[in-house]
Amino acid sequence: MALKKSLIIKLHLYCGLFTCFYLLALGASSLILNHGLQVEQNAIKSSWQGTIAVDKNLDDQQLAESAREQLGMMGWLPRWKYQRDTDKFQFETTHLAKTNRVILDLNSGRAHVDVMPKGFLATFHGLHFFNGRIPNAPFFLKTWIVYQWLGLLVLLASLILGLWLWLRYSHKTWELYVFGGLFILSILIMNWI
Amino acid sequence: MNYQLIRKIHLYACLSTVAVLIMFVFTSYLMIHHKTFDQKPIKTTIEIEGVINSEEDWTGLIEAGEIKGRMTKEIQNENEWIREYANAEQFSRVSYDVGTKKTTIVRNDKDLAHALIGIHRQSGYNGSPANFAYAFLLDIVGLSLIIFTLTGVILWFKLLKSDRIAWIIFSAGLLYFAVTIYMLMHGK
Repeated sequence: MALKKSLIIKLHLYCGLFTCFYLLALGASSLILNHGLQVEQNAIKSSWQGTIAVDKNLDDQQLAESAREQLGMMGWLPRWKYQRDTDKFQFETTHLAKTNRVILDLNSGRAHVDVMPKGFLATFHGLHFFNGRIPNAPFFLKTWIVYQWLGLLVLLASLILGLWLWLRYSHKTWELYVFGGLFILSILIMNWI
Repeated sequence: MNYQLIRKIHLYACLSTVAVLIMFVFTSYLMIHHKTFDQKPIKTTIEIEGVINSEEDWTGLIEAGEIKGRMTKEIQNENEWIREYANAEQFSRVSYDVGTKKTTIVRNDKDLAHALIGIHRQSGYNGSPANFAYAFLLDIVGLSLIIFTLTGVILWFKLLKSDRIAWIIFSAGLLYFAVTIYMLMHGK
């Protein structure tokens, strides 16, 4: 029995440690969302330049995708940010951690990129919604979906193991009533909204 | 700090939020695999003629359209007044054409999977007492997630600090998390 208990405590610990950083991000993010806090910064912090091959026959979407790939950038391309005239094409790439504003000279192929990092807190908060599917992102970032999927499963396992330990070894009657009542109340509130 | 006290904080922080946490885990999987459950909401359009003069008129429209939930958006311009309402299971848009004095109500009723996801997406203290109670629960969940994670790590240090597997899992998790944030913040 003692062996079984220590094994379950260890499993509970391993599961908790595996998912602890994700839980911290979720906890902080839930508070940010619930209070509508604005955590994103949008100031230009740095700039850089590059030169790419430009095909003027491409439409805005294709040209933005081509430039993003040639410049080695990742991120979504908001269509409403496209601005094009005969000599210049401006667009943005954006993801949970930063926005890049790209001004492309259509004649010379020179691209000027203004970098607007959203900041650590915005990135930490953004992990709540991140599914690893940022366009043109490195493979490593795509593995986030696996971590997220496993993290949730492991959280559930940790929760069940912890509850089992409490119910089997240390629960008190008043705790059962209080937290059982809170459990039912929470379900009623969720059903109510 | 006393081991028993930290253990109690860890336990109670988790126990107080267990129902919401289970809902979050379940609905997160629904969101990850949303294509499996993708169904379009049932859309109902109702047109009503008449002038809107007061808040009571809006209340009448809400009742006529069987609209549920709190107001999430309000836009008033010269030609059109728009109000949007939402709860977990429904999203509605009421638009009033000032010129023709005609109101169009578009109500979207979600299927079960999307209604459950709708619970996950609720936040904020505005709205009905239920919204307030849920927002309060969310705050408790947010704080609890942070508290029981930190107290869990403290308990590990007090109880099983020398466990090699725990160190490997913790270090791997920290490294993975740190590299992900670094790549997001410093990658192009």
